[in-house]
Amino acid sequence: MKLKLFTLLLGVVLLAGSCDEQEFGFNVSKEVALEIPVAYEVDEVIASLGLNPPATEERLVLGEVDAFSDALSDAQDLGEIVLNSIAYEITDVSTAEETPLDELTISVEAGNQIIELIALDGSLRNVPKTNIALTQVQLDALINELSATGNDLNTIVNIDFQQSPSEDIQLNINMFFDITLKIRQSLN
Amino acid sequence: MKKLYIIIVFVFGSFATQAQDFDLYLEAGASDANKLLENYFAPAFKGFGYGLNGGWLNTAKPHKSLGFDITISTSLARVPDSDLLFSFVNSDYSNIQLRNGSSADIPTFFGPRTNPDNLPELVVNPGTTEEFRFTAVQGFDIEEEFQLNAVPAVMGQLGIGLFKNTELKIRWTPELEIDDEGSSFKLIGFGVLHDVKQWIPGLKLVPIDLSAFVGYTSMTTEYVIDANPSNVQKGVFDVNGLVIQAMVSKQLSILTLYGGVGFNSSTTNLTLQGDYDTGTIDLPNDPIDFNFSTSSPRATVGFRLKLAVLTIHADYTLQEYNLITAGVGLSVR
Repeated sequence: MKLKLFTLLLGVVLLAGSCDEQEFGFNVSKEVALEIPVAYEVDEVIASLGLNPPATEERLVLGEVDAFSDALSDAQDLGEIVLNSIAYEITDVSTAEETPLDELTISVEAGNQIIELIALDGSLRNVPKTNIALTQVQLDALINELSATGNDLNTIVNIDFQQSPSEDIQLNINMFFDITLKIRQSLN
Repeated sequence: MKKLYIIIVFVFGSFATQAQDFDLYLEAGASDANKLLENYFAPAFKGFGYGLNGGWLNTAKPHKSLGFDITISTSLARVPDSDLLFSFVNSDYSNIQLRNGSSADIPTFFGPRTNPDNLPELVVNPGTTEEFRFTAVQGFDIEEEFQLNAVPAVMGQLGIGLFKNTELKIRWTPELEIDDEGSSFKLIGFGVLHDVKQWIPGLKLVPIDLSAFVGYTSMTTEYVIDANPSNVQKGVFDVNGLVIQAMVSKQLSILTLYGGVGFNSSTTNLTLQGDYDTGTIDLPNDPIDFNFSTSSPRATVGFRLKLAVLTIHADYTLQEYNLITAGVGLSVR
């Protein structure tokens, strides 16, 4: 259904008619999954010289993914949007691709600030779905960016290997945004 | 998709002056949506069924031959506190589950207007890519709005005296066109009040009236949502009520005191007919089909004032949904 639910919410109609002002509403929540494919191409020269390869960066503009931005922008007219949690998982890393890392980071660029979500060291490996601990301030900054019209929220994946892998690597990083839309209507 | 709330608003008139988008329920599939909505609206449907059985009588004395009355009554069926919430149990549903726990009490239509942040969260299509969650629907807190948790019903009827102290009561409207789309309303009901005292030796001289009554009412409302001939979408609300009652009354000048005991039952059916598309799931034809049945013993006490041909009456009925009724009429013979 992806973000169908938010589209559905656009059809929410509350008919006014009660005697006094009361708040009527409900919450609708969905965990939105976004896939970030990462492709690392081995530099033959660096690999042959055994040098520490430069970091690779992948960017995904969330606002262009799956009507995410449009749905949230529309939904914002209906109520408050709350980002409950963010989780991630790393998949499709084969045993042969488990290369030592200097660091793997996943960050989001909200406006002019960069919020680091994950910093992974050790070896590149599959990671099961894991919640990311964020402060409320960080969550608020993210949801403000997500729901802003014409948002420019980017996810940035940075991979820095200690030494060059022997072959190209392809993996997926899945991000999960658990979002609640609080529909509220004061009835007069 | 056409909104189910139109039906709900239509059926309950002034009650449903606020409505929520029930499309979200339909995303759980027709079967689960039916169960959830049926539980949510049960008090309103049951109350209407009880209300339909009200207002039949305001004396145990049948009209004399060719005597008649025209009476209009309004009944309020009080929703008991036990029906302000209903128990949601996971095992009753296939595609919708509580996010936490296996059962929870959630508001019915007449229940409290709890802040959604404090209501249980329901997961639709759990474990699938279609999964989403929504909070249980708030009640409309009717008591807060109108100072009384009750379902209203208005009835008009004609009573005609026949023979042998027997009176025929008729509730009837022709099929009324409500709008240009073909929406309609019709009502029919019959009742027979018969003086049984005349058949019981020794009772003839007792200065009271004693009668037996049986009454049946059927009301059908059709609301056409979309009259497109290729896919007529409409809601049909059908209510049938039966009441059987022994009545006793005593006339004291202009005042008549009356009371009775008996039994009443009702069946209520609401269907949403036609093909509907939520955009994400296939719904069967006629996706909504609610059925409610009520039955309860009843005991009534009331009074009637008769000023020349004008009558004013009020009574109270003890039953599952207690009923308060008041009305006015014109009565001759």
